[in-house]
Amino acid sequence: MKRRDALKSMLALGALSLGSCSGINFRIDSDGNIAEVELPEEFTEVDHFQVTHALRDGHRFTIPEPSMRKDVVIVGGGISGLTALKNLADYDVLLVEKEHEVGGNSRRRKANGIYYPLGALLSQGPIAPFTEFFNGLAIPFEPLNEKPMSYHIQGRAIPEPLESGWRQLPLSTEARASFSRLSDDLAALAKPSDGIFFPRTDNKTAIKALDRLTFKQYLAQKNYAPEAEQFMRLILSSRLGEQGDDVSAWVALYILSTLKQPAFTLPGGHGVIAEKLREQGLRRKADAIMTGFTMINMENKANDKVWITGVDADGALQTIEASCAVLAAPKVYAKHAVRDLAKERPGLYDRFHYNAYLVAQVELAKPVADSFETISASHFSRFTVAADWLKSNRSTDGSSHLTVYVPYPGVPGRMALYGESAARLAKTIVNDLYEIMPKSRGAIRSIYLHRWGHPMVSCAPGMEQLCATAKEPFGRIAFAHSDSFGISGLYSAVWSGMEASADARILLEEQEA
Amino acid sequence: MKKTLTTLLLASVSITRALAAQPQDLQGEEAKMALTQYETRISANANDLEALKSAGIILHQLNRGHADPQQVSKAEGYLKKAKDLQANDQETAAWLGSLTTMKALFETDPGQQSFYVKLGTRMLDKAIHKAPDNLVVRLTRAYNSLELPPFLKRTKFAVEDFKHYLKLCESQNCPQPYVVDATSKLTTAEKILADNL
Repeated sequence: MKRRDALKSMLALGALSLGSCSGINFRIDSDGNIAEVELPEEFTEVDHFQVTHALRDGHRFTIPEPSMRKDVVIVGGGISGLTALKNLADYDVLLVEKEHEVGGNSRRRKANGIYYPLGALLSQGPIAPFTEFFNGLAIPFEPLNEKPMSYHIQGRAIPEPLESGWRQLPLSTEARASFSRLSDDLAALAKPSDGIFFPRTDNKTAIKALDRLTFKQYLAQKNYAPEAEQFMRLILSSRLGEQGDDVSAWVALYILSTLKQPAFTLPGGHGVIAEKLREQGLRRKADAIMTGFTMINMENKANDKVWITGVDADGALQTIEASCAVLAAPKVYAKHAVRDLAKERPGLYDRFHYNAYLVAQVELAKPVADSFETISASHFSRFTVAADWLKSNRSTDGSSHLTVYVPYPGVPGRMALYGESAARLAKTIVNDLYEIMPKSRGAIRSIYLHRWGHPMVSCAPGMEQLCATAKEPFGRIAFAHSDSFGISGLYSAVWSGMEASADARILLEEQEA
Repeated sequence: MKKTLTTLLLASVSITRALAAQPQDLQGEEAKMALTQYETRISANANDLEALKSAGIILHQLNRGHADPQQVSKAEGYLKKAKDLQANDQETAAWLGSLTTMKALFETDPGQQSFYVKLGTRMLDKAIHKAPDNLVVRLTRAYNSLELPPFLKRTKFAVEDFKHYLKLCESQNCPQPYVVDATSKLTTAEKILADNL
């Protein structure tokens, strides 16, 4: 039996975990049963984490002499790295990315004429001070004016639970009143003038006060009904990957307050932005991007240079020497890959925690969603997004697409996710969808499971100072962590890319002088 | 005729006083008159170090409240030239650093704004590193750090520099108005820092 056939048999029997092979497609029959298992074309398509996990686990790689020289090397091809590339295009710059394509957590795919997101998808549009940046890229943000969210609770889907929908919630009068109060409180926090909605507010005093508390401590002061608290935790788990009890109250409330802001998305999510940045970067410098390069070591050298060593697409170790480097990857990666960084900043990197998501892409014979996003109070499938809710992103043959996100918080969660039976996960999600969106019964054609790594950071109180310290340049290395606002978000990624490229330009210009 | 003579006489007195004072202390018409004099000297000798430095400082001070891109650019040219002529003058380096942060005001792109603030503050920090007990360098960074928005996290340097300046003044003959203002600004900076902790 060939290896591929053996794996298929194991998958069908539910014996293969998601950690064994990333990206598994299950064909679903009209009764909701798994009819066929398909392995991905390339086993390595998404999962290049083997090398980075070896690094995390303390494996020592041999560092070869440099075989390439550049002014600046950017490590990481997500939105922060691509923004840095945009700003550093006047130099001899190279962006290296471990996957076979850039975009990081902002990538998209297309099936049956519908673009769907692999990761990030919601924002507040081209807000200041990034209006010029987004307009310059001609990003076609689309407002979610109509039914952006439903809350599935006690067998019912309630549209807009923080707008007029709170009156329809199948809860006690007291609990409904608590939702109404929560709505008012979040609206106040979202005000540009005196709210906490960075980057549009200057209300640093209120932000600082909230950043001293955990979200749990904040909730203890507010006396919301348990049902309203549960709703908040569900929203946080959908955005952060965890329920948020121990995170900075500022971060938690910042995220919750976005529910009272105008919401925007793009066909297939933020992948559109990454694609535009990539196009622009390559237009200015055709050889500016190298994919399939997994960085395993970055170190400042005595000659005012930086060595960036990685495993290239052929599995060979290669070192690039640069005058400076921008690390546009999570802080946990910096901790392990940048020589002496953790030693020079003791304890800092242990304050950030990362959460994993399981993501399922579901193809359907017809549209079944009643809103763009559905949050479930009681299902394993925590939140579901209908990419084709946008009129500009619909199939011509009547089929539809849902993306299901399931948070697996923290290291134990991540380990549990890796150990899960892929077939069991697929079956659970199918059954969940039948309950959450009854019209999906018999309409699900396939379910593709992949995981979204562990990009979602959660920060304890005092995160503003922690994040500021973590993004200080280290020798000739600048940092463009996309979670520099304390959450992994679009504006944080753009801003981090801008700041790190400013740091890099200064290093380069000083060296030239 | 009498009025013209009086005006000329007064102007002459003002110019004399203006040129005698420290360029950073000049204000309003006195500053403008002194600037004209220094620029005349620069026209005659493009390498007149004192004139270049003084003209740059006066333009820096005139633009602190309401910065004009052309004037800031002109000041940058003067200070860069002065720095080229005397590379180890940390006062000029500090003024140039402070002026560079002003350039962020003319940008709409947050990346460019960030670049000028980082570039300028880095120049100021280097000047302090090389001349930690220079009163002018200390005060230049102190005022710059206080005037930048607190979220840029420079207020701590305002506190450090005003304190260090006042400490130095215990054994040096610092102008009394400077000491009074530094004491007052130190209180302001400490409050901002406490509010943002």
